[in-house]
Amino acid sequence: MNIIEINELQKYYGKSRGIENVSFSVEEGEIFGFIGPNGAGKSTTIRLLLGLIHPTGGSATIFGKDCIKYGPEIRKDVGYLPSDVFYYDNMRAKDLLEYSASFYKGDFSERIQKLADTMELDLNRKIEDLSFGNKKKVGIVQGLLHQPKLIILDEPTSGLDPLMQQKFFDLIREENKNGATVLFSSHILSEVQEICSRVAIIKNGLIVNVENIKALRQNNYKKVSVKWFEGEAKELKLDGMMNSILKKNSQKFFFNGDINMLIASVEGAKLRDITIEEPTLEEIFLHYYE
Amino acid sequence: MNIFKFELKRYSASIISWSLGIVGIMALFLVFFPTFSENSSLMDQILSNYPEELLKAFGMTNEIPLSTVNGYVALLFPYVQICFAIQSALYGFGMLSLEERNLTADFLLSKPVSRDKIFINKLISVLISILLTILIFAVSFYGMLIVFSDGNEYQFSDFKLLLSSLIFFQLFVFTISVLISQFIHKVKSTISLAMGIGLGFYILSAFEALFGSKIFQFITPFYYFNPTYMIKNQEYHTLYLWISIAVTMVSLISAYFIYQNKDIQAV
Repeated sequence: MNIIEINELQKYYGKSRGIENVSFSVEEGEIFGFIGPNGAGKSTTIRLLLGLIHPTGGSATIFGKDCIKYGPEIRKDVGYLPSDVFYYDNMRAKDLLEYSASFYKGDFSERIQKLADTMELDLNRKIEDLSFGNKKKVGIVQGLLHQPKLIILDEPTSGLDPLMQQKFFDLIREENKNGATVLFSSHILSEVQEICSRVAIIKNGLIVNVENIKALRQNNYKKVSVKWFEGEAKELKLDGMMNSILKKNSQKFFFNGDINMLIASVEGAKLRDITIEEPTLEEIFLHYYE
Repeated sequence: MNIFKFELKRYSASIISWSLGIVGIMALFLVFFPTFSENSSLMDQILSNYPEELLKAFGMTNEIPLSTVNGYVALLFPYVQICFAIQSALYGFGMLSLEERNLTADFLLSKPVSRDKIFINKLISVLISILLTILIFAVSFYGMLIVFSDGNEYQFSDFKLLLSSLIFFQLFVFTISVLISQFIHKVKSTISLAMGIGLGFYILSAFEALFGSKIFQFITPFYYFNPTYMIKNQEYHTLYLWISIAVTMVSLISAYFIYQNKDIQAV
């Protein structure tokens, strides 16, 4: 079953573009990455899902129900962590979390304490006195305390130190193991790579591609680097070469042609070194953005 | 219900400080009343030296003698109204837009609650805050009359209308501010907007007194609920009362519908 289903969703603010055409779906139980540079439309899409803004075209459903029409009902089972920190003036972390919990049925005080302990958050401090990273933690606890079936994270790791990021990822993985579906938006590929199983790539308000992380990385392209001995250089020209950079004694390129052709082309050449490796996600990403 | 409780708690400090402030100003005015009424002939002499336009602008129309409690209160009550106007404008600009400025709108609207409920809960908590402030003021006002009237004659009932008019006055300014806040892309400072609304309406009423222009009469609540008129005639300006009620309802209903479909901007 698809937890989120987005269909040709569009949002224009007057004439300026929020998103132009976004379609993808998130299956139950997966951690779905949503990547793209700043301003590509990640937050806009998420805000549309939450009913914070209204679409100018297309539709989106969560749990099979329309996002706008059934907003309050859907949001019972959604946890949202916004990219920016927020706080009411003059309030302790504890007060805010209790207020947050009061919107859901049940007693969450134990859960709040447990989450705060995991994230090393002091609940008795005033939120406005907390550092950016600690405010962010309040947001995390707030988003997870009611054990939502769907967790929506908008650039969740900014402001967290690497150790905390790791703890946060563990927390998300645990929630995922307990059945929560996760939509994880980010512009940092390595973290998406670490935690997500599938990923949608958004650029200028359009979904460029939706892929399995493994498929994305194994997607044909190899990164090839060739070095010759002094004076022996001979430029390689093959079908399926991309972004070739030739220097005096070396050449670097991406390659998705026949690997046998590549091997044949260097046969007999005086090579000092050759490496054929998987490109990083960043490099694949750049490829989509050309 | 949780939103209502939460909001009312946040207003509690504000209710107390506004009540203390407004009561304080009224007390400061009334402290001088005994001296003022003793030397009223001297006062009238001083005032007669001022240009008539200036006196008009400050509401010194001499319709009710200033040496009486009624006349004195009528003269100074607009300054109390200014305070009330700023308070309700502050609540009006803050009710929905502060959430957006502090990004707590994202927090609140991602909870399982409809905008409908948010609006109504917030509205009720503001209404209670406003009514409480008026109530505290009214009780203190009567108390202060007893202390400061200095043997001069007055009737408690003469001020009944004046005090109850504050409810319409406050609601008028509040609902207009809520409506305006829905059109401002990002409300940065509520206090400056509220001061603008409160003092702006007052200045319009001064223009009205100066030029006697009908246009000004229709656009400022200081004219709708003119203290001198209400104390002297013991009735509301009926037409203007209805105008104020109509504007209040229209502003509130429009703000409600705009808020239902408003896009909550990220920063």
